Amino acid sequence: MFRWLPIVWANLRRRKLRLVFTFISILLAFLMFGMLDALRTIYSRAINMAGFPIAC
Amino acid sequence: MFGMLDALRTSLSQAVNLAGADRLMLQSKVNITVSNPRSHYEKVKAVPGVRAVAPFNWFGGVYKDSKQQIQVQATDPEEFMKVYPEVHLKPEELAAWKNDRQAIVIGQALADQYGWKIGQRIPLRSDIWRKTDGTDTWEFNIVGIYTVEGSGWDKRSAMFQYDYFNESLQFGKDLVGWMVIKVANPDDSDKIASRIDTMFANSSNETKTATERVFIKQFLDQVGNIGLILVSVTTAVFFTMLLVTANTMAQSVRERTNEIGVLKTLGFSGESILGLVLLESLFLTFTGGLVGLGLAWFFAKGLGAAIKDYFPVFQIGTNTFLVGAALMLVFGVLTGLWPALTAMRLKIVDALRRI
Repeated sequence: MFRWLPIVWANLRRRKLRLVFTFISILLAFLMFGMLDALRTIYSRAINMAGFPIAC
Repeated sequence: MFGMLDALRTSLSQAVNLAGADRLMLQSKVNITVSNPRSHYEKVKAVPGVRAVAPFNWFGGVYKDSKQQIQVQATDPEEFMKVYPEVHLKPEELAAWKNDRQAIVIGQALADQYGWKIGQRIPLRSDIWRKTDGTDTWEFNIVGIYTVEGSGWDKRSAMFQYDYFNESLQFGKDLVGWMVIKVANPDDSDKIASRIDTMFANSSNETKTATERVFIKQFLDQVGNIGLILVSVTTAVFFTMLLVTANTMAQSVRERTNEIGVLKTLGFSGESILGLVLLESLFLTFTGGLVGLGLAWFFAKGLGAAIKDYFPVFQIGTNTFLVGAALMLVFGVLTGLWPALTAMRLKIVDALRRI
């Protein structure tokens, strides 16, 4: 697989600006995903720790 | 996205209708953790149309180990049974609860969990309160195990006498945490709630009275909606990313039609071309994804250190990385598959037709 990498990289570099924008959009998406998932985790843990008597 | 979020906002801001509920929940206007003076309790009881009022104080019970947290409340036995008719106790158990200062009644689920039996004496430590002698452990006699019909009250809870609680307190005496009010006529709930809140308006301890259902829903929705919002935002972000990347891939392969034709003329098989294009899209999603998650991990670490006193566990776990890697793989294949298949099927003659 790795011997293909130079040709893949050459293909990607054809349009540098497009590469940069695509890269940033993917990067931001996963950055958001990571941060939001961390937030979701603390919320669910906070609730488990709180333990308020909810009658339901 | 705009439509969905706006609908959510509208539904949240709609006025809550109190009519038709026979139980109301009174708490301090500040929030649930702020207690109300005991005099409020007497005044609420005297409001016309109020049948019974159960006072509640959060005890914060710990049994032996601080991991064994139990929901323990101090309340008034008689009023409690009036407010929650769906909670059943045998008559002799109720009598014992009323007569014995140190009596506690527990839910069936709790009794099963710890193997507690009627007649047993258990120590429970409070996370919050201290007794006048400086200790924080109260002794209780288990006098009854209650059962709940339907879902009106928590099955894993424990209740004991308010008087026993109040008289032994070192601080915070004569306070009531929150109250649950049973009204005689559900149609009057609205009027009674506003009457009670008006009664304490402009005092130093203002109150907020709403239906029990509204209260519980608000409490749960705080978390439920946060989860939903986070998931929808993430989905929207990924969907946009998918469109952008898929478009890029399709465009870049279309641009390269001639080159693919040349590659095929040189003897590259259709499968190698497919692999080449897929590798390209996977390369994009994996580099972008790993750098993005790495940055998130870095930020979370910094942020986590800043807020560790409030939220001790703000971090990106292994689980997130695993899910992230799976998403990178899926997105890489998804965005590259269609252009890759087109490139694979491309005939040399068609590819080199226009030079």
